[in-house]
Amino acid sequence: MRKKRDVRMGDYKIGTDEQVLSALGIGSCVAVCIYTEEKSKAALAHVMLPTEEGKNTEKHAHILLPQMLEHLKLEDIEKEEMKAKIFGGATMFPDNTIDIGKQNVKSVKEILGDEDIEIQEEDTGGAKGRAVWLNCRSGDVVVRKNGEKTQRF
Amino acid sequence: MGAGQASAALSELTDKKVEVEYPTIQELDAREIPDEIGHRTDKYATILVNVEVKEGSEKDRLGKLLLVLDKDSAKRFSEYLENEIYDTDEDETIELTAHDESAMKETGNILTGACLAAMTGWVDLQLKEGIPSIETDMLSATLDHVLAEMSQDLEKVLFFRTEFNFEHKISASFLFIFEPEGEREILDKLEV
Repeated sequence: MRKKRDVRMGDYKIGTDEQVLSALGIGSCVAVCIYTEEKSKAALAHVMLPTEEGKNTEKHAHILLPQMLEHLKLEDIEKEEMKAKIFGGATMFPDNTIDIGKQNVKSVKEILGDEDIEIQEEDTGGAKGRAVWLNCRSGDVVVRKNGEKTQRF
Repeated sequence: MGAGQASAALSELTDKKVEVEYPTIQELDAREIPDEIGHRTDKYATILVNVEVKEGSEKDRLGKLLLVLDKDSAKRFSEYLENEIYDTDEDETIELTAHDESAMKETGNILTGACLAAMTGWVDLQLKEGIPSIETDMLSATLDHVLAEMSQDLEKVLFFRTEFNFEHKISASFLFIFEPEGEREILDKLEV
């Protein structure tokens, strides 16, 4: 089993024990980390686009997140055990385009709220890209923002 | 498709010989584009210009033009533009001054102008360019929302790419990514 696994845009992965899941170079995308305190199992979803009615691809929050939560349940993790940490949703090229970052964060919070999954930590918004690493055993997350020192969440 | 004109414009601007690679057109999943250009967490400077088609009072989005430079190339490029020598340290970040940024945006304008002039003749469309903006950050972070926005309705995006090299010291990727409606419009004009 590979120790480090990267999660691409519009995808999610589940990891166990010493595995580290990462989302490298996220701007307006949101990394949704779901972990448990007991089971050494965690998941990371790399959300690319906000919830939008009629759009049904994994790039969208309302398709990708339920798929991941369902998969975690099949892996024997109850919804009540799940805790969340979310990162990303920055505004890149602020003067040029619609703010997908803010919309992504809003969609993610709505979905987690509907599922009663508590957000323990978040570092969202701003104008800098982030690299995110999730330790599947502890649920600890290391975040490096462009040009800054790493932070632990 | 304008790459020759764009490289001539760059050459004139920097007073250096600019080599341009043979341009390619690819159709790719938008999510794969950052990997085509470089390492996703490395620092790059990206100049972005929106391009519209203008027909009478109607305006349609055609696509986005991107000039992407890695951090060393970005620093050297600003030096060439201003004919000044900066200290190029080993720092991870790209510290571009407001002056550097405005010089690079201007370059974006000149390149887009040259490219659009060529495209206008080629496809017989009236093209209009937006105001350039610049972002210096991790490659994938800079591109993800541009790609997200453009791939909402499509699985694959059509993009045109070429590489510029100045004296083996600066390399830049020059991309034109078509909006879904722009792609249809161009293909119609070409009767593909």
